[in-house]
Amino acid sequence: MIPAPPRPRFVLRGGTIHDPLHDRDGVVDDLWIDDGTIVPRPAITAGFAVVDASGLVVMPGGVDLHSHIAGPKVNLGRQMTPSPTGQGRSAVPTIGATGCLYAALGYTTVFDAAIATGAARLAHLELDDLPILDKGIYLLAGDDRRVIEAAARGDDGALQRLVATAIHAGRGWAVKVANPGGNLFWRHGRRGDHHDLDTPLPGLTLSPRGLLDRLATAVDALGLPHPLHVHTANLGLPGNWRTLEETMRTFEGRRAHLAHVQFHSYTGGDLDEDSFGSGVEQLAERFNGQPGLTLDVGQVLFGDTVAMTGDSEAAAHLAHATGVPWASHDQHLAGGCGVMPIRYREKSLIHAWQWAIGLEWYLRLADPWRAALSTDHPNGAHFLAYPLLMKLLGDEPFRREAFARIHPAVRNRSPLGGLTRQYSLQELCILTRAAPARIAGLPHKGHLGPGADADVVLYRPDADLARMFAVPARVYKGGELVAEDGEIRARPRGAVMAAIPTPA
Amino acid sequence: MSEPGSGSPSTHASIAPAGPPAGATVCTACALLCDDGIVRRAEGRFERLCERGADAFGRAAAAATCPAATIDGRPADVATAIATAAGRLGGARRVLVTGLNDVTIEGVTAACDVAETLGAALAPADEDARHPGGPTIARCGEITAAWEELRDRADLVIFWGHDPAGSQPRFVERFVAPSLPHPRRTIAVGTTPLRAPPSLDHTHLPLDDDDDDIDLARLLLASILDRPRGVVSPRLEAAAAALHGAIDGARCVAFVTGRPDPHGLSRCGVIEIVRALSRRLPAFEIPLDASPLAPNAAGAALALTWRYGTAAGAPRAVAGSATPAPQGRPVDALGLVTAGGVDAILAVGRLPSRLDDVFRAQINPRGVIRIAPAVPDGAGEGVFLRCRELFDETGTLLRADGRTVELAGGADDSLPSAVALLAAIHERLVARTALGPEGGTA
Repeated sequence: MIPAPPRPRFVLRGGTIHDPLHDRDGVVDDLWIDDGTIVPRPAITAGFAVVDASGLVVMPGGVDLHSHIAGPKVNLGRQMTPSPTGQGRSAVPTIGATGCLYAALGYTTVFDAAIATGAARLAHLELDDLPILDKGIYLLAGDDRRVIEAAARGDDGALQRLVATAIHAGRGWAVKVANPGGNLFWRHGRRGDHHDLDTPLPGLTLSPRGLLDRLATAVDALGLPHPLHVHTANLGLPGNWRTLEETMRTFEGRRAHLAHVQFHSYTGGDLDEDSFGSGVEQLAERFNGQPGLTLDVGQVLFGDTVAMTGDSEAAAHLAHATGVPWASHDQHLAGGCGVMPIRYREKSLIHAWQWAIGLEWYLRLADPWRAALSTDHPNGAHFLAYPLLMKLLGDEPFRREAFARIHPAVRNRSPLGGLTRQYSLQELCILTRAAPARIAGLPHKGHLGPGADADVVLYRPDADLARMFAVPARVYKGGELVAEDGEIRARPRGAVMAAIPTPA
Repeated sequence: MSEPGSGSPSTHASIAPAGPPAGATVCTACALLCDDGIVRRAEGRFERLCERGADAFGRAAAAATCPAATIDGRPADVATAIATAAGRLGGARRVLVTGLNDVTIEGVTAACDVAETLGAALAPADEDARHPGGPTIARCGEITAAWEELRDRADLVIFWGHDPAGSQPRFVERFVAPSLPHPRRTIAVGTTPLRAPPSLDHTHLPLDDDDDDIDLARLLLASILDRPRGVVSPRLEAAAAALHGAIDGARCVAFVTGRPDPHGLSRCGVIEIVRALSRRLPAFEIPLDASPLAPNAAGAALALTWRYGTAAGAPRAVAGSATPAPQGRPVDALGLVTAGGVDAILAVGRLPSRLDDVFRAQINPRGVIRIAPAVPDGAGEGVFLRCRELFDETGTLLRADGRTVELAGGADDSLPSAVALLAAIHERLVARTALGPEGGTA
């Protein structure tokens, strides 16, 4: 075994620091790093190497709290989208490339947001091959038959034990629920009859709302660092904004995280494409008034990607609607998934609405600390598109130009054209680092205070935010230089983060 | 309380294994990975194992006298053999790492580490062109389900050109023969009838040629979609009508596939039928692996997919490559060797005998490094390192339906695991290389 080299002591001198947790917004200061951790300025500075950071923007390493990077459906995605020529970049990179590309982008922590409990061991084998990043998984424990039965009995003790066992055995960080109870409806032939939150699950008195309620209670009782991660019902369907609104109502006065809300914010009815539109204004008003809720957006950006979901009902709906190649596994079972390629086009009415709805969500957020930037990689777009998304949020004229190119019906009806908000660097730092770290429950991430992991990114200031954020000058992971101007310099292993359930 | 990892690897290494019940051993004689058998090797007692499974355990007992390592046919100590293996691999220009279907997923990833250090080609040892999974999935998709879903739900099971009796002898017994609350029918489409137990309500729809199933699939799909169809042959028309009639009377339909299908035409036909059916009733495909020596072919394919973006392997194994292998150009171990593109081989696990013969005939035998529980006809030139039998390993296997099977370690731990041997070779290779496997470009 080759011993790991000692981690260096150094000071990043004179960088322009953005550290929202400590209210440092563009403050020129030094950052002291020792043994992988940020430390206060030491009394004795001898032995600390000096790294000149003057003129560079300094931020904590990025945290992606909702991505799809490992597990069966991701590997189906890799098989479905090999590069046609061998020259291009796959929409679903290999696990090694995932780590390198994220790191070169300035991200140092990532969570896979949907791993079936039965696939957790495999996912961890795969994540062992993910270099550089610290990582964790959210387990789809809400699909388990015994969990649903315990919830239906109102047996909170049994439910907590089952969830705790799943988290422990699967080394999970959080509990995700995807289309609560959906596979039961699906299995019992209710296709086309997309359920609301109050229709009892087949053969049970428990409703999807009741399942959400019980699961959130169990997650909180177990003291898990991240609240219940909710992918609610009716993903992608016209009129589903009401389902999301009802989901929010379910969590009044308590905490929950709402995943990829863009895909759940549509007005309209099944048979009337012209009525498809945005329900964000009403939803954002409710969200802003419920401080226990957090969200990630699942922004759509135009181009080729792969849709993949543990919500196999939603995948089937999309596959039948589009006719594209569709890979589905265990369609009617817990842990099932659906995968298919998708091309988001500016001139597509639906895709343009999805793009505009996602941006509208960001721009209507009263408190960026309650939101995480995401594309639900690869569903809305590749994570490599994050710099473009940051430019769309931080550069209003650029956004206006992009808005002018989309489908004219959306231009005419979307409220996005009237929203002029522009995110500052500090707010972008919140969306990509500070907030996702806090929402995920990572006190050592997302900030640059003493005790934080020395995951630090140095950017060259650039008026073109996409260019600035695409290629950081330097990326440190645990104090080690891992990337420089897009080149990988080192591949440390990174840690697997697993929660320890602690029932009260 | 939680443990936000802050730079150290996870401390949660102990996962309760979800393997077979106490006293049972996973049979690794084929890809079915039966875990319901009782194996008492000392007594020579094997219950609920098929003949092939019992043979595998028996063969293992007979191989007990095989030396732990040989170098060019002479017994050697393991450390020397490891050093010699690393030296020969490290000194070769074009290395192929192959085998892989008969080891744990942990073993496959350890072999990948070796391949990446060497910049070797890496491909599973497939004797025949099996399911061309990647390209077929990219072209047509697939709708599959767990074998238990077949057992518990499918009241119509169509064996499409494939009789699992040859590759997974107990498949029908375990997943098709059990009764449902309502009657279950089975239909075999192919040139030969299914070797089915008489208790099954079974029909054989004979074909003249294996590839006739491609035309039959077109006819059946057209019939299901009520589209016009050209006349192919009265026999195929009748078969399509019979199948359509059976499907119309079913509540849940499963297609069992697995015949060699190098161009994927047969399987694509089935996938299109399943997709069309799935709009109106539960329908899925159960793709099986036809290779008898590939108990963990699915696991190898999965690990290669997450490492290299393709189940077929990589023409040059590179850690963290952002560029997957080109579509439609799978790496073929046999093809590479016969084309003279290889001067050393690291073969992990048992090899199909034909491949073994070709490798020995085409490569300077000194450059053949084998890690396996035994080698046929003894080890000649080259390096042989004996590892545990797969069923004695600790690690993870993958059934073709995506279910993991955990091996909890068997009775015999006197031999090293394949993972340990590969790790030792890897360590030697890294030490030889000035830069090691680190570094590179995103």
